[in-house]
Parts: sequence; structure tokens; C-alpha cells
Amino acid sequence: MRFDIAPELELFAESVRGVLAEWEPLPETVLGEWADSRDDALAARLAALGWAELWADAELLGPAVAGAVELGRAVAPLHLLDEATLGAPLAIGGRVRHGEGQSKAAFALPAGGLAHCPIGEAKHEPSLDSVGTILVEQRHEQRLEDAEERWRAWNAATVAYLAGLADSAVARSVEHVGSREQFGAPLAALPAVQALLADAALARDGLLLAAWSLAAPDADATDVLAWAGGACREATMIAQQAHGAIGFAMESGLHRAFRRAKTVQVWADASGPW
Amino acid sequence: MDLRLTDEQQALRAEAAAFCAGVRPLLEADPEWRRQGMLSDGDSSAVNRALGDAGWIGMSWPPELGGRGLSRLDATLVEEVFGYHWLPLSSYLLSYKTIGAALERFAAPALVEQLLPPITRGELVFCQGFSERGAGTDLGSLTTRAVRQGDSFVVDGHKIWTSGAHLADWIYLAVRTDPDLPKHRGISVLVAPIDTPGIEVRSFATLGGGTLCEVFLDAVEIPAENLVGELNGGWAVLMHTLDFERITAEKLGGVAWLLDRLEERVGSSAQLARLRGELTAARLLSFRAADTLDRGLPGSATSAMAKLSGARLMQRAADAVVDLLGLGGLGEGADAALEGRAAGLYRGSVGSTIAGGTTEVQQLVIARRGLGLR
Ligand SMILES: Cc1cc2nc3c(=O)[nH]c(=O)nc-3n(C[C@H](O)[C@H](O)[C@H](O)COP(=O)(O)OP(=O)(O)OC[C@H]3O[C@@H](n4cnc5c(N)ncnc54)[C@H](O)[C@@H]3O)c2cc1C
Repeated sequence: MRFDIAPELELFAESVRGVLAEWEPLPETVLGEWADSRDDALAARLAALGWAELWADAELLGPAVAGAVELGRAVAPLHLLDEATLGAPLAIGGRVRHGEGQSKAAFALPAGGLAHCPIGEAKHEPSLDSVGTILVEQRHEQRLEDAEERWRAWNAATVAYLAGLADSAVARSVEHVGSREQFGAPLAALPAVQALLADAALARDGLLLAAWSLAAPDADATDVLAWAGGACREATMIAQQAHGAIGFAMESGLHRAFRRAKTVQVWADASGPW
Repeated sequence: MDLRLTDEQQALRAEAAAFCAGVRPLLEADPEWRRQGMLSDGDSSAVNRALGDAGWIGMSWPPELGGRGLSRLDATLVEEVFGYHWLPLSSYLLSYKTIGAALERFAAPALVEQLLPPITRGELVFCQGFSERGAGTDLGSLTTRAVRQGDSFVVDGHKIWTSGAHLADWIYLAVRTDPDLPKHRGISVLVAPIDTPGIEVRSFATLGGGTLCEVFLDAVEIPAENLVGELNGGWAVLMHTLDFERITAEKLGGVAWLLDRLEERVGSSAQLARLRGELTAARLLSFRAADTLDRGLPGSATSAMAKLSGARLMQRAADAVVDLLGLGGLGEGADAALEGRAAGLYRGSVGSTIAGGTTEVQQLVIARRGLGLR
């Protein structure tokens, strides 16, 4: 076992980080209204780094994990995961995320199958998060031969994305409690606050290790994926708690990771063999 | 113990449910009501007026002040029904349940006679200016200053996270009146019309789908007779206010609605039964807390238990209900599963373990006041 990240993967992560550092998320829309955070310009910049067709080669699962952690840290739109692994926006049971304006979606089929199908008439479904959910009918199937490889890459990237979300929650919280003072000292000095953030760090480290375990070509993701969403959700919930009312204000932006964690969890559950 | 409701209490709750059905069209017409995820903390002047017209505000106050002479427990039982029907109650909760309780106990008779009757009619709405940028959990460190000048106080400072200030007619303010006293002893409480010169309100959007406000106070002149409680004795007033704020039966009503609708949709399960069991305990903790205050007993620990159990249940229930609904549970709006309330509550309930004192504060109150731990 090795617990350090290979230098070439660190380099790849750094270049993804560089692109994301220049990226501005779209302004928030009103909660409860339909919103799509799809960003094709960002997708193009990442594709230039090699963030595409990540499923095609089992050797590329390392970059998939390294890059997806960065996407999670930035709470980047989810179509970046789906299109690089499944080849199109993800569709499960008649719902497509980030499918608006796209010619096809990647439909999850029973028993781990996958089919690319054209998107016909669509209806917007407002959602907890700005993932542009549309309701569609599955029209006909073009079953993909390489479904297993594609799902493997998607699973690894999804867990890595959740690890990145959890990491962003921990990092923001550590910074916040270090600088906010109550009772004449930083919040960081309070045992109750330390205990909260320790739990978030526990979730984050578990997620990061679990994500890297999926970089091995023969790893089975089922159990890890079933656990990862809840662990990430907890870390983001803790971040909200540690921020107090500041994090409840939309202008803080903290809620982006919080809403995204639950969204990824529910989509991941729906993709599972249950 | 006999924890059954009396016939009168059941009849009162039935009357409340009928009222809720009657105001439903007002709710349907309000876009904020659809996206409001923080159960019953929505703002609606129209609903508050309707509550006042029908005699539902100030139930525990004497008839001569516009009330029904009932107990706080009775009012709490009714608030649960209001919550079940998703009434936007922010104005009611602030003006009657929380601030009204402190006015009733601590304000001078003339102020009580001036303020309580219009509150019961839904004509006078309060907001609560306690928190400041630097004074959240550490409320005792608040710096908004009130200096006595002749017959008035002149107030300068800045309040934040003030619920409903954009709709309020009056503000209830925690201010520092003596900076030389130890920090909890130099605080007083003042009330003032929100249109007093020098008060400015800015509102911003929250994760709950509603708004919070900040209030700027610049040389605001408030008559000295608007002092609530003793000069420099404000801490006791604030703590009394919080004991009432922390009973949140209306939130539990919303959770009950969610669980009922979920069961209709997906049937019963062990997970749902566990949530219902937790709800049973949380309701009883709320009702006990109200009864404790009715009897004039020290209520900090019982109110903290009511608050903590309800806040945790809201978050756990929202999370579980979204999970049980699957992808449909993420949907928002009238057409989504359970009218989008699961997703709304998922984001809105984040505030439940922060507002009115965080989880960690409730734990400290229970440990110290309830268990005597030091
Ligand atoms: C929806 C909503 C509505 C609100 N409405 C109002 C209102 O109408 N009027 C008003 O005055 N205020 C209002 N507030 C503010 C509320 O009272 C404060 O948010 C709350 O007291 C916490 O303060 P804070 O947000 O500054 O968090 P902080 O005090 O900064 O706390 C951040 C974290 O540190 C923890 N912490 C801090 N001190 C301790 C300690 N001693 N021990 C252990 N842990 C600690 C907290 O538990 C929390 O997890 C509202 C807040 C919300 C979210």
C-alpha cells in the first residue's frame, strides 16, 4: 500500500485546480425554481487537459479520481462527471440531469446496463440543486457494450467528487472557526466546535481513501458508493452548523456544497442495484 | 401523568384546523410559501391579519387584552395544528409567542395596554433585534449602545439575522446601557416603532427560501418609557424570551404532515415508524415545556429539550424522507412529490439547529440547568 498520490496525478490535479480557480459559478437563481448550472465553456477547458473519455482506459481511473476530487472541491457542475464517463448526461428512471439542450442522455438500465438515447420532449423539474433536472421519456435503446467500464469510471469519479465536496466543507469550516471569535476567543478553541469539525474530518478522510481505492481497475464500488453520499452529507451539514447563521445566508455560498452533497447521494443511490 | 388531550383541547384543535382550511387560498397565491422550507417560519401579512381577525393571536392573554384566557399549553397545541397546515407564522411567533411573552411579563402596564391588543388583532408585528455580527452565541457581548439623554435613549448600532424586520411594525431591541458593568449586567431591552428615524432595514435571501434582515440603528431616539424590564436588567428579559422561543410545536406539526403524506405514498416501514416515535417524544417535550412555563417554573432546561429534539427531528426527517422518495424527493414545487416539501425542509431545516440558540447551546443549557453539571 502507498498512501501518497503519485506525482503525475498530483500534477494533473493541479492543472484541473488551475482551471477551476479561474471559473466563476453561475449566479444563484431563486430557490425552488428550475436552474441549470451546466457550463460548456468549463467543460471545454477541462477537455483540453484530458478530462474526457475517462472510462476508456482502466489506467485512467487515477486521473478520474484526482480530477473529480478537484471538481468536488469547487462544487463544479455534475455534467462534467457524467459526460467524461458515461458519454452523455446521466438519466435514471425518466429524469435527466443537465440534459437541457443536449441531443442524447445516458440511461441507466437494470443490471448495470447503459444506453444512449435521444432526448425528446422534456419538462423541467425544479430541484433542491441547480442540476437542471428534466423529465423525459426513454425512446429507444442503443445498449452500450462498454457499460461496465463506463460505470466503473463514473462510480470512482462520483465518490471522488463527494470527497472533494467534504474537503471543501472542512477547509471552509477550519478557516471560519479560526477567524470568528465568540467569548473572547476563536470558535476553534471550543471543545464542542473541535468535536464537530473532527467528525467532518473523519468523513472527509474516509471518503478520500475510499475514492482512491476505486482507482484500482478491479475495485467494486457498490458498497462504497452506498455509504459515501451520507458521509459527505454529514460533513457538509457540520460545516453549516459550524458557520452559524452566516452559512444560512445565500450570499455565503456555503449551501452549494450542502445541496450538492444530498443531490449526488440521491442520484448515486438511484444508480445502484437496489 | 395523563397525557391525553381534554375534550376542550381537541375541540380547539379542530377549530384551528377548520381555520387553516379557510386560509388555504391565501397561501396558494403566495410564491414565497411554495419555496419556504423552514417550516412555519414564512412571512405573510395576509395570514397574520386573518389569524388576528379570527382571534388566534394571544390565546393565553386575558380577554381584556384581546386574548382568550387560555394557557400557553393550549396555544402550543394550536400552534402544532397551524404548523401541520404550513401556515407562515413568523409574525405570529415573534409578536405573540416570543416577544409577546416578555412584554406580558416585564413591560410597564401602559406599554402592555398599548401593544398587546393590536398584536392580537394582527395589526402590530414585532421583530427581534438581539444578534449582532460579533454577538451570536455570545449574545452577552452585544455592542449596540443606548445612551440616556433626557426622557429618551439614543441608540446606535447594528443588528443582524433579524427575522421579519422587513414586515415588522415594531422592533424589540437588546442594547447595552452600561458598558462599565460586567457584560451580562449592562444590557437592557427597548421597543420602538420600526419607522423611527435612524432605523434602516436591509433583507437578504436564505437557504430556507425566505429572508433574514439586518437593521442599522443611527442615533435612534427611543422614549425612556419604552424600556422593557429594569434598566440594566435586560439579560433576564432576554432569557425569558428565549424560553418561549424554544418551544417549537409548530415545526413538529410540519414534520407530522410530511410523515403522514409519505406514509400514504410509500406505505409504512420501520424507518418511518422510528421517525414517528421520535416525533411523539419531541411533541411531549414541547407540551411539557409549555406547561412548565404556564406554572411559572424555571423553564430553561425543558425549553432547551423541546428545541433540541424538534430541531434534530426536522433535519433527520427531511433527510430520511428525501431518501425514501428517491430522485422524486429532490423535486421542489407544487408538482413534485409531497408538494416539494421534503426538499424544501432539507435545506430549510439547516437553520433549525442554529436559530434561537444552536444545538451546542441547548446541550449546555440542558447539562447545566437540567443536570446541574458545572
Ligand atoms: C433562520 C434564523 C433566524 C434567526 N432569527 C433571528 C432573529 O429574529 N433575531 C435575532 O436576534 N437573531 C436571529 N437569528 C440569529 C441566531 O440567534 C444566531 O444565529 C445564533 O444565536 C447563533 O449565532 P451565530 O450565527 O453567530 O453563530 P456562532 O455563535 O458564530 O456559532 C458558530 C458555531 O459555534 C458554536 N459555538 C459558539 N459558541 C459556542 C460555545 N460556547 N460552546 C459550544 N459551541 C459554540 C455554535 O454552536 C455554532 O455551531 C436567526 C438565525 C437563523 C439561522
